[in-house]
Amino acid sequence: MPVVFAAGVSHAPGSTAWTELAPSDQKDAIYDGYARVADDLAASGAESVVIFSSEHWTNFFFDHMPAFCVGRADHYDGPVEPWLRVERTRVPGDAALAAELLSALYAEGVDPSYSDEMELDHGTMVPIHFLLGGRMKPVVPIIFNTLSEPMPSPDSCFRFGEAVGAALAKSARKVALIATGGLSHAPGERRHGVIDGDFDAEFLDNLANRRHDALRALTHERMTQAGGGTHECRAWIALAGAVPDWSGETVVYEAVVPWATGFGLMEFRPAA
Amino acid sequence: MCREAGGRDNVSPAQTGYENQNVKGMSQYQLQKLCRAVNSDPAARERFQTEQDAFVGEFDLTAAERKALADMDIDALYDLGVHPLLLRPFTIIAGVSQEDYLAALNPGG
Repeated sequence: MPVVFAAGVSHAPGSTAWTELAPSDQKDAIYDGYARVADDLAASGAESVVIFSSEHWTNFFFDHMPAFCVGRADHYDGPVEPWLRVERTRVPGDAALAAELLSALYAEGVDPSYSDEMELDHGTMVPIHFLLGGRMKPVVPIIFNTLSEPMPSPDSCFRFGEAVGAALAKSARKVALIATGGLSHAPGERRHGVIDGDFDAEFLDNLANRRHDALRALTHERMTQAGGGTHECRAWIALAGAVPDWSGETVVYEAVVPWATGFGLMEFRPAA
Repeated sequence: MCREAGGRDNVSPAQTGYENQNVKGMSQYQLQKLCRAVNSDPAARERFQTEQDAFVGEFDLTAAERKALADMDIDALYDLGVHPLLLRPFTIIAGVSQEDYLAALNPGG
């Protein structure tokens, strides 16, 4: 069954860990946006949620760094960060959907890693907290290497997303798709705190107008220039590939300086 | 438009910490392995806090790396090649605020 809901969202840990530091007008806009999108997700009839997110040295390291890894467990514990101010909990996994998805991908020659034991960090727990809190659904986390070079190119991510979208369309499951990461930020770098509003505006505009060629042609260097965390935008590009006929609508964008992140939240709908 | 919280934006992309991994030596791997363990493994975190010398001694580190850890010298750890997304959580666990982290990385700046 085709995807029934799709959204892209940042997973800034400040949105739970350092809430008091952000200006209240920005916080209100962000939390109101989350609430609206969470309601839309609940109303979509989705039975399970596939989450495209980014690795943060939680499950992988330089001993093994997959480009894409599909979680195939029946539950996941998280968050691993004791400072995130999100209660550690057990999130149900949709192992059957993950297995079905993997079979369909491998049949098409798309061969991601897979894992039957993964922990969740802020990259998945922050969007789960805000979009599924109190209305939990089983998840399939798909983790992208956005940390360590070489990493999959934006074009490769788009094609991976296309394959996931096609595979999900063959499933009987009604699936919501969430891409999470970005937008511009430079966590931990000497440039920590820099937000590239020009990059963020152009990126959201390209998603809103389905300029897929521009998204696929984004260079690694341009993303690095906007901050190393900007590489996480690859998850959104994969989402655009998974729902190629859907247009994004920006729910909220705020450059939140105390959270050191260009925060974006975008819901996608079939193009009119 | 670039907004910033005190970070500097005149650093070339070649200095962001994502690239130097390509040429790392074995001790840089070990140093990052230690940081990663402290960040994500509660038992390792407790050992780093309560018996740091013994815990650090289990990793194959250079003298400079051991000194940077003992001093919690954030600038030195960065220059020794700890990935920024390992180093920032590692310092959050040590109680370092964003302001102090940036000040440590930009001495005199």
